[in-house]
Amino acid sequence: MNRLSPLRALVGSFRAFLYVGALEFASYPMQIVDRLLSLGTVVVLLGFAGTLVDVDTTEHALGPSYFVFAVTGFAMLQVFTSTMTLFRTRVRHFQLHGVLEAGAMTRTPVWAFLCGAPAFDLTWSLVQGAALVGGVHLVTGTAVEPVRAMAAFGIAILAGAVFAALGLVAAAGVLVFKQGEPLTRAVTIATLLFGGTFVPRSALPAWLDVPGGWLPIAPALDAMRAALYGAPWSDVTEPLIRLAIVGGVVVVLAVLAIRVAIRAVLREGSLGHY
Amino acid sequence: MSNDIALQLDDLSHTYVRTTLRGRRSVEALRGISLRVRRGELVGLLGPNGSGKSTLLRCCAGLLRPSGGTARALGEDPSVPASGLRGQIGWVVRDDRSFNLRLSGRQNLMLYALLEHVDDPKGRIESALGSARLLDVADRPYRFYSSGMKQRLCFARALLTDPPLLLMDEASSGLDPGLRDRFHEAVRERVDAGAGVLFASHDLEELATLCDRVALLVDGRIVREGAWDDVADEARRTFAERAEATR
Repeated sequence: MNRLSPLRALVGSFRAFLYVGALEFASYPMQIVDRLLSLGTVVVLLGFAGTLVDVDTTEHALGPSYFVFAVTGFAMLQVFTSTMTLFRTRVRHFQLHGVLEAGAMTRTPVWAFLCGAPAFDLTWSLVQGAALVGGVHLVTGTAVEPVRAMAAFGIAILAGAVFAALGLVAAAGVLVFKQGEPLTRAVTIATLLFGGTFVPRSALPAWLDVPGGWLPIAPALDAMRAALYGAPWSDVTEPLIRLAIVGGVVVVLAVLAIRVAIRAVLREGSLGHY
Repeated sequence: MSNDIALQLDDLSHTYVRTTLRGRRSVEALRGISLRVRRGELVGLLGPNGSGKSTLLRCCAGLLRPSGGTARALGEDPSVPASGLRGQIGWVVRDDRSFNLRLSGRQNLMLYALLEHVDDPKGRIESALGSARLLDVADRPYRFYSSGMKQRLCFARALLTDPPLLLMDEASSGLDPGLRDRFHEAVRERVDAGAGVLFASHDLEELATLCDRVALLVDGRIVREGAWDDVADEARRTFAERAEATR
């Protein structure tokens, strides 16, 4: 009678932390200015980089220009880094302040509590990414059909879910080992270098294409760019299948890691230790 | 287990094991604890620092899996994460730091009301704030709360689900005498409403006036249990010995 279904627990947790995150965000009036300024700076820098890069846009499937290519990469990278870092930083904060123990006493299971914890920032990074990509297409006069824009947003949400699962694996590491968590840094660096965010994968050595293509961000970006740049739908679905395969593996890994981590901390009684 | 038992511990034990590069180290924190708390009863858990009070409460709350014996809270095993106990146990600890500094007391409670999936969250929050005597400061940011207000907010959170079992670990620390009396009244109201309460403290006077029964915990064992008059001499002797040993 007292148990919640997993979906209800997850939605409830997401809603609760979305509410708190929005209130906390609103309590820092300068935060919105700070975030917009830093975002604007990055866009200007990417625009400047776009004037320096001299590549064949057709050869490397860059879409309308390198600038649009890089901004799309940056938007997805934002979603990726947010999801990768938010879960582990929340776990760390929650352990330090006893929030995990307080949360564990509620009807929301610990796993759902952890999944919902960064709800506001995850939503923010998705909305920010969508605004960024939409804005750049508007500014550069590159038209995107509404159905393709919707598809791109759907791909971003799916990619966010896959990244979140990877973030949960990292969070499980922090939950148990408290300090060391090498996964985030390693995956983020690999993503930056070989994932096709700012450097097209076709410009990398051929032997890097296979491992680079299986980094979670690579199929997400391939699908999103194909959707946005008007490629045939088959070019969208192929990387989506790759993303689904990577996602399936990562989700299973995340479920196992979180289950093992929660059992371990309950056995040790270290839910509130850091 | 009959329905009027809120908490039942049978031969409960716990050993902390820590593995370091130098090998395994273990500390026996609880040894063969057996204790019952009925609904509508307030049982005090008295013991000097390091006697195992917090460990015992954490085992009862399901935040720590005991090494041996059994704990049954409201008839269920609290150490099973999927048990139906979540939201049925009120948890109040001293120096709680889990609230968000940027939010008001009321907003902080809303987070937990949503996580608890209570019906009519606003109504429950008002009721809990009233029980904790916090209505007048409910909209003040938490960072401006005094330590007494923080402690009462922790109590208010525990009341959101109207839980039939309350576990309180030095819950009145930081309260001045006047507030402490009002806090005790609020706890008593919950007991009169049928909740079972296990109240851990190392304050002899507090447990003497507040509790129906007291269990004296020393070095992880319950050495005496009963009405305050039956426990008082042993308790005073234990605390006097501890004080002497630390000189």
